[in-house]
Amino acid sequence: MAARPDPIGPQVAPEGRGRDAATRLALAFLAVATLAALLAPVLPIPGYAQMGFPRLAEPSAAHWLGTDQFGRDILARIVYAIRTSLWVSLIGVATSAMIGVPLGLVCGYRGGAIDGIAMRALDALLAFPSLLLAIGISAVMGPGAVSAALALGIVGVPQMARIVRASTMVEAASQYVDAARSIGASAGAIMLRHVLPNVAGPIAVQAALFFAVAVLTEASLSFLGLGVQVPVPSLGSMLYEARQFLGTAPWFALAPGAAITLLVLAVNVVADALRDRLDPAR
Amino acid sequence: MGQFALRRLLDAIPVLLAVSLLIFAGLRLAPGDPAEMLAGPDPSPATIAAIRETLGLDRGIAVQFALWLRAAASGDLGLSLVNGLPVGELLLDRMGPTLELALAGMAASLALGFAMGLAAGLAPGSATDRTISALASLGLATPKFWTGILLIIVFGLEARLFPVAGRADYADGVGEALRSLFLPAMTLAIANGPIIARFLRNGVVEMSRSDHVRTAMAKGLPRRQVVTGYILRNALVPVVTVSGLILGNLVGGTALVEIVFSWPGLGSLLINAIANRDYSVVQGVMLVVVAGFLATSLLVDILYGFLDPRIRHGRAP
Repeated sequence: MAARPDPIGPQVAPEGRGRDAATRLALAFLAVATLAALLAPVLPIPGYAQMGFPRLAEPSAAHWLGTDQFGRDILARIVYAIRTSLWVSLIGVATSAMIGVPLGLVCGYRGGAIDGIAMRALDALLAFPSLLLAIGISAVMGPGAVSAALALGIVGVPQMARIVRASTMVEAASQYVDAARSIGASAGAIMLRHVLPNVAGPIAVQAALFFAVAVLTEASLSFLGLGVQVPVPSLGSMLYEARQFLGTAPWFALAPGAAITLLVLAVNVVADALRDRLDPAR
Repeated sequence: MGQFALRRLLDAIPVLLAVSLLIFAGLRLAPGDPAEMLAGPDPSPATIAAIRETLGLDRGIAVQFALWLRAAASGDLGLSLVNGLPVGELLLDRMGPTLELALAGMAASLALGFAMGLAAGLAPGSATDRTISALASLGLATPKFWTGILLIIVFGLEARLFPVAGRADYADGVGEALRSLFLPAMTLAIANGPIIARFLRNGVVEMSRSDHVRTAMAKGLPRRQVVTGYILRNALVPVVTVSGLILGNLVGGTALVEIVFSWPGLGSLLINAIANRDYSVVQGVMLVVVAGFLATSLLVDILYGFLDPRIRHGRAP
């Protein structure tokens, strides 16, 4: 198979000050979103399942983003939905790293039959379009937040493992690893103490890039009814509900979609900046 | 060239086998017993046992896989657990609309990607370049299903230019059919065009700076000829790869757009089958889509070897 180009693509954003400002803006947005998501229960907003407001009301001073078909405050539901989105994505990224990093380290350092078998298995996973793989895993495990998070984790394993493997192969051929080996350090110790810290940069960049993919995929899964289940809100399922009221309450569909887009955009901008800083070779 | 294509084809076979094993094993782990589902409400144990026997569920798992694989290879993908129809027929009904949408989406993505990528790449650093780059980042971050919803609100409900849902058949008028295809295809273009644009833009910028292009300019070739003959031809190689990936993903990735626009394709069939726990249909759709994805990557690999002879001779840069 031909080498897969990075789906996020090569950099096109202009260099220099405009770029730094964009990065700072993205970081600020992510900080606010994370803080709001963490503090949701103590913020002066209604609960996500609290009904009883007028139904499908337009945005107003009382309900900044309007209300949904059950008379629930949309702003409150968005804050809780961002909470869902962030933690599901975080667990997804963590899972992909917990499986992908050790796999990549061992394959890259040892090579040979283990490497061959593991890489063929990853090829089989890569043969699935990524959303289809996530859909399949969620279907097998039954819909829910936990299966969505695990599905994201598995989807992220092949790329994480490949990146760690490639970087490890470079490090394993270096002199300091030779030196460690010659003083009798065990393979495990070399991988953990010498190789891992030196491949941390590419791992961080891949984790950040995959976080954006995870947010988008989580939203897609819940739009398809395979993510977190009612009444807990998620940005994707809110959009699915809003779809029925496009004629009467078009604003309902605006905020959840904008929230997904801004989250993904902000994470991408931060990930690009991280890549420029940690991985200047690319 | 033939040898290169054959080698690629042989490489794809073990991957396809591994994929079928994953799909088969994955769905055996899924909750729910297909025999109980087919038996209807309150079946007797004897009925369930009889159904298990007809489905071969009482045999060993390896035998089941072998039987399933042999049947699948001859086009028999079993019966739907919900309505008892042959899965192969269900898939055939839905394949046309999905392929139609995927190809239209691909064409629209290429048109949008080329327009954006060329405009940006031929004037690097300009205001146009920066605007296009910002738009591309935005397009990449926007979920397809939201783009679709926004297009429905603006062009369907407000402007009333296009139908908001469903697929019109070509038998009932080509114009109507194309109109129903327009918004779903545009949704795919907005999601995928920016990827093509980025690769093309960077390829064009890189090529414009290369020595052979400078030589061509210096010897006074017309700009149009330099752009098409010298810059584009070389900038196209990565674009072909990424376009192939996009096309492969489109075959399986139209699901979200199909749901938004109530498009009767494989994706909506898959999502309904999951909701109904119709695992034989889920299995069939997955297998067909992944096979389509692999076939597309194979075609792209071969095309790639054709465009860049270094690759087919194993001297990839």
